[in-house]
Amino acid sequence: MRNAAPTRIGFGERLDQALGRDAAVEFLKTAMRVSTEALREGRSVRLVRDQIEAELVRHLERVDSTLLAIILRQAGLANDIAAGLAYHIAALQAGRSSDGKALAARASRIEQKADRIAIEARKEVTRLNARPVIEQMMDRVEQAIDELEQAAFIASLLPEAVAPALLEALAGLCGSSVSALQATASGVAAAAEVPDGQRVDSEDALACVVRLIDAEHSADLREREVTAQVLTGGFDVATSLAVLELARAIERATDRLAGFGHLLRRYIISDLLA
Amino acid sequence: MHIVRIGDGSAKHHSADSIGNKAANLARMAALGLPVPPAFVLPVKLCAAVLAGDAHAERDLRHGLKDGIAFLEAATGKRFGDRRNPLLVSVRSGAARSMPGMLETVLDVGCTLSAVHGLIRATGRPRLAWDCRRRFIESYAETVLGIDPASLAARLNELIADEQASSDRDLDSEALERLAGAQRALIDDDDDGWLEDAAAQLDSAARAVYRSWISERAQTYRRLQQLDDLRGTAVTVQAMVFGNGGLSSGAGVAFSRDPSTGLPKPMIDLVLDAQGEDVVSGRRTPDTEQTIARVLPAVATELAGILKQLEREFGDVQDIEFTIEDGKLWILQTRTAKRTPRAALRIAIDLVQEGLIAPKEALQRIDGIDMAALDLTRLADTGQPAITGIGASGGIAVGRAAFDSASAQRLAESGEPVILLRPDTSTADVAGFAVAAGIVTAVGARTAHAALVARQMGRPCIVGCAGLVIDSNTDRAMLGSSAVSAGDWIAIDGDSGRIYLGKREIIVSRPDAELAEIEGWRSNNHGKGHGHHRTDPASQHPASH
Repeated sequence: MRNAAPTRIGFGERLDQALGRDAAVEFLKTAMRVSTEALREGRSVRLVRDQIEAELVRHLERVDSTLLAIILRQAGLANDIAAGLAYHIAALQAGRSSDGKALAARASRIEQKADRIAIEARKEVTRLNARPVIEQMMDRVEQAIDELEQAAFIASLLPEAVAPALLEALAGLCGSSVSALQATASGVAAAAEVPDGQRVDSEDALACVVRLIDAEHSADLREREVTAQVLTGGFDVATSLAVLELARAIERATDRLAGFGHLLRRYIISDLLA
Repeated sequence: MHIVRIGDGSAKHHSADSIGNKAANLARMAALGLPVPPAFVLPVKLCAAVLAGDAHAERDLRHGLKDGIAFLEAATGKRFGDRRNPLLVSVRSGAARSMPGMLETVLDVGCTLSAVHGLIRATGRPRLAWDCRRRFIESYAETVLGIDPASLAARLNELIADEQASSDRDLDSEALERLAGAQRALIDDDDDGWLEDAAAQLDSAARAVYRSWISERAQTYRRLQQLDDLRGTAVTVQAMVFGNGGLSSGAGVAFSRDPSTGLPKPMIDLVLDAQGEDVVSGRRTPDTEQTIARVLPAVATELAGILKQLEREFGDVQDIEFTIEDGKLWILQTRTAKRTPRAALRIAIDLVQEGLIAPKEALQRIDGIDMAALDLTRLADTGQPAITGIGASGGIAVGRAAFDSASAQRLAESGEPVILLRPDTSTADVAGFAVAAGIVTAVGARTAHAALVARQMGRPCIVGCAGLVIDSNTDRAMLGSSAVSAGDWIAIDGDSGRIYLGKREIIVSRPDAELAEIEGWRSNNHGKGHGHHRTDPASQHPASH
């Protein structure tokens, strides 16, 4: 540890916290196997030490994977809010009852959880001396979560009877945000494979960046569609305000995710050049 | 020994005796060109030999699984346990005759941690991926490892409480990831490598399904049902499809005609963003046909066409389970539909008039039905209903309100008719159903298992009553804005879904025109010197779960 990871693993720190449970188990298994074989075959202690150190370095080099797993978790939480929002609007469209307060409360709990994850993640970024682009990607997803939580709050205040045309436009916007978040998760999962992977991994990850940009353009168009309908439809003030604010919050979320897409592209390209 | 491939373009028919009833129907649907997820079947004849430890059978099992997975990989373009685009499979039992709930099924087989990563990559849905992982661990731990599910359920319930969620459906993706990790830790001692080895999972799951054939409950069931001549179970391995991937996905149940009234129009229940269990458990109120037609118009049209096609092919009303995955329709099962006696009469007449069956066949199908149950009932005086739900089983019932099965049984013992009102249609309430004159639930679908039981019992049933709120602490309920206490009289109309307060008079009439038509067939039939058999229409349509 002293040789391989003097700054990464502190004195007394648990190995599974530094590497993750699976990696720690895998590392210890290898260490035991290498040691046993060396003892049985009478190999030099120095050789064993080098082999174990190389194994530890190999695991530490996967630190990006650990941080990308955190971003994946954040993307999942954002997706959960966006899916709940889409479900709520679909229920209103179908004339089914949907508990707006429960939607907002759940979104708020998820946002708080995502905040806690982000705080821990930043500590990890500092401790592991990770590339700045990773923290920037985390920030973008966190911002998207904040916007979606705000959208859920506004959705919970929508009047009971919103015009079908407005609901349809809002449903389209929700669809754009869900698409963007799916592209986010798929892109991160593919990017995590890039260092040891095949060409298809970087191609898939870059294709997700394109999907993110497309989703943002689509959300932008739909948000304008909502704005036009509100300004020309003669709706009451509460409905107009709620629908406009909701549409803007969702559009801002997809905007943050498009920003995430640009960062993801930079991350992948730098990995490919490394 | 050869495996049977379903979805390889073959039009060959296979008997239920060789590959089980469910798989034979799947193969028949695939041969018709219907969208059935690809599958392969290890035949019934392998069952006894595998259980006896026969060396040839062991080799056949290993080779069969290997060949079968290669077929599924080619058919789906996915790879078993893969980190990029993983194939997950269900491993199901299936005897020549249905043995509902007696044999084992393992779902989401192949869901290693690598496959979870691959599912996220392929779908962009971390929640779906982690939900598959934890469902797989639960299913495998109980069925294959024989671990008491209570410990896993306890961990789930703790997490639901910690997360302030109402149920597991309400858990977010991070919570499900943690749940899967905690469940893995609980069964770590029993892990000899299978947790991350898709092929080992499949091998063990197939053996567990075979073993379930000689479980005590399966043997008892066969003895009681006089099914001792059955030779074993087949093992069907089918590519998983997911209905819980967003609002262009869903799971549903559909009947080619209304099994409550017999009316010749399809009855479709779909729950968007859900798995099959969410529909048949009765815990969620499904979307209507109108919603499906609006949200997924192409699927609605395709489904209607398939229902007609299946009815023609099988010559009777069909009850199908289906999944929509990202707008693509998949048919998972078809079987002959259970129906009320009234529906059996109507359907028999309509099928004869449509030329699908001959009068002689129709007479056989309705011969065992309870003639008293054919009476048409209506309320003499209705007025404004307190609330309206969805009629799931037709007819009128008037009785005293009870809010749980035990109370219903107590009230029934005093000789009074009882209406059982419940939050959902759980099969756990079957004891209450048996004594109730009618059943009402706040949520649930017309196609839920419990609604199906109500139809089978000929009990009027209303589901999806959004205005019904039961307070079990005070033994009271709100029906819209009206309060009802346990023991109060109410009346329900299972056709219209309307619920009325107070004791009402019931008017009974006979379906004379239909009965005259049946009598006409009988006369002709006797004139030709043919007898007919007594057949119970309910018992001839066994459930497959």
